[in-house]
Amino acid sequence: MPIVTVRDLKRTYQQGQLEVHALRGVDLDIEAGEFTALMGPSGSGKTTLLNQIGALDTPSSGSVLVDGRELAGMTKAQLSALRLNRLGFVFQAYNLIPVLTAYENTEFVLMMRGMPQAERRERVMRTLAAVGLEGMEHRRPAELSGGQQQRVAVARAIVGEPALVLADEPTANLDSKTGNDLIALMRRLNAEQGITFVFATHDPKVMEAATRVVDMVDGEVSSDTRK
Amino acid sequence: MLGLLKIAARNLSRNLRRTLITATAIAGGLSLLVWADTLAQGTYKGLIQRGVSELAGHVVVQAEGYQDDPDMHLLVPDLAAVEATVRSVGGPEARVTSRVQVQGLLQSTKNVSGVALLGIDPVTEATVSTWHTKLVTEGDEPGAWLEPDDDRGIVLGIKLAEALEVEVGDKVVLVLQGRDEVINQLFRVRGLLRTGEDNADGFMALTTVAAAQAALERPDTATMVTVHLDDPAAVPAVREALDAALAGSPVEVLPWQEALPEMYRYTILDRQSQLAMFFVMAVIVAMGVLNTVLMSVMERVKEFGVMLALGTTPWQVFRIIVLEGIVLGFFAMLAGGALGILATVPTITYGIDYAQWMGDNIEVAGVTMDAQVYAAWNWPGTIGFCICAWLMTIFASLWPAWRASRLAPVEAMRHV
Repeated sequence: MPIVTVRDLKRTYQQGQLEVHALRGVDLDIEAGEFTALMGPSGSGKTTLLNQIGALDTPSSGSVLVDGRELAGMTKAQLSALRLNRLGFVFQAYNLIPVLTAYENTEFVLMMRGMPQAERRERVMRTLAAVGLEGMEHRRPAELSGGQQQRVAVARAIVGEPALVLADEPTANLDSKTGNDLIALMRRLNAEQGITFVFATHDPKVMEAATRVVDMVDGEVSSDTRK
Repeated sequence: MLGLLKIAARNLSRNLRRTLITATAIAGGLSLLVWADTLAQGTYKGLIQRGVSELAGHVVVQAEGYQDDPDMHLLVPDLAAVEATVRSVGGPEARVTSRVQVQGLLQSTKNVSGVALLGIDPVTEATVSTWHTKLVTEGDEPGAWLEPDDDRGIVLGIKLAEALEVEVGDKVVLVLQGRDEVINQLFRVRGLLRTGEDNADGFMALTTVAAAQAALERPDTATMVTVHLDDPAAVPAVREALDAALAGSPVEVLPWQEALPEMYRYTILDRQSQLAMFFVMAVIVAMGVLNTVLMSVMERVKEFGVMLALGTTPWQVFRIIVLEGIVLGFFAMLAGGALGILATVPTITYGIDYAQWMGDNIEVAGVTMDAQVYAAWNWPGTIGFCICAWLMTIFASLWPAWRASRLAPVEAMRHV
């Protein structure tokens, strides 16, 4: 069973008098363990599709199933629980909580799950080490470089060992070397821990690393290539 | 819940400046309320103490009907027996004295003036009121307080003496309408009183109970027998016991609130208007707190959006913000309460001198108060204000918390 099933998904926004069709009927299945890149120009609907899969937005029509469960039939609390326990997010603008340290940002998801402190500590330290942030646990986002902040964001996304990580332009604000390091890190996590990754990206390096590339144009899937 | 509390406490400590500004507003308002309340309580206490000691007692026994029609010939009969009953019911803690009120004219060799003569027991009166401390002691011929058996002695208000152009040692004659005929009674001025109150200084005179009884030709009677208590909370019990003990006598037993209705109504009305003012102050502070909490939520819209996106439920976001209000309000309450108490201590010890604004004596509801006003602890009030301030902070956080919990994650994360 695919981890994500998208059927005839449409999303239309109202901008003043204008209707913007961000998604025009997308069909997509994502299997567990895939490392999928959603490619396409700005405005092609990549981020909108990620938000729909991540239960962060509601569709105008169509359906999204995650883990075989239809999102449209779930309550807000059920959607929150799904995001908390099964999904991980890496946002383009990092979106770390500014008053929290790298450790606390990473710990946040586990804290909301109610995990005991000792277990939380062990998991957070192990994850921060995995993303190369050992010794930087007590730094706040303002004290970290862009690449380091994005590593914290990745650590936060994977610390709860989610089934699926949704990453929106994770390398967009990073220099070439940092971007490459981050892609390698996520590829390793995919290979070693079997975490499914779905990226929205323009970055050719991500496309190279991806095992599957889904091209989007004007809110539709124009091509879908498995390597 | 503990995790949410930790997050809330961390949010407050990491936004220290904002937290301190909000806490200062709450603590400042609360300390002001506590201080103003203790000062008001002190003022009422002083007013009641003065009124009760000089014009009545905590409990008053007077002739039936006197309260409605204060005729000077309406007297408590069998004074010795009534006084003995009152003393035995009041117990050793109660101070008991009798007073006889007489209205008439006072005549000297040079002038004549209206007078409110009060017959007192010089010994017991000195334990319940402060008349004896107002005796003028300076000058060529300082006066003396009345002796218990001095049935010809009189102490005059200083302005009354000036009007009559008499000094200590001079003679005056009291003229009053008796039950059947006009009565004249000769007195010799023993001393002068300076109370600072125009009415007392201009029209009041003191003599012994026996002299006043003689003037009225009614031995063994008094206008009132007054009971003065150290603990005003005992008033209802003493009144009830006296009512029972004096049942059958043609007397009425009144608590000070009924004996001095004007003063009592004043304290109630003033307290109500003060509480209304406190409420307005609290609302102003609450609006400030609401504004600050709302601003702090609006500043963190993106942060809450991220929290919601990561799987925090709207209910958890709501609780985090309310917990911030609970923690902030708790510490602001402690700080404000402590500040208010600290500010009250000097006002209790040294008082506030209103003389420069209102003169040496302030007349309130027919009672003259000292210009030096002292605060008095009002622990139920202080604790009540503290709890109100805490609840107010919590209530002020409800709406911002509700708004934050309704945020759509995607839109909130786009918020700048």
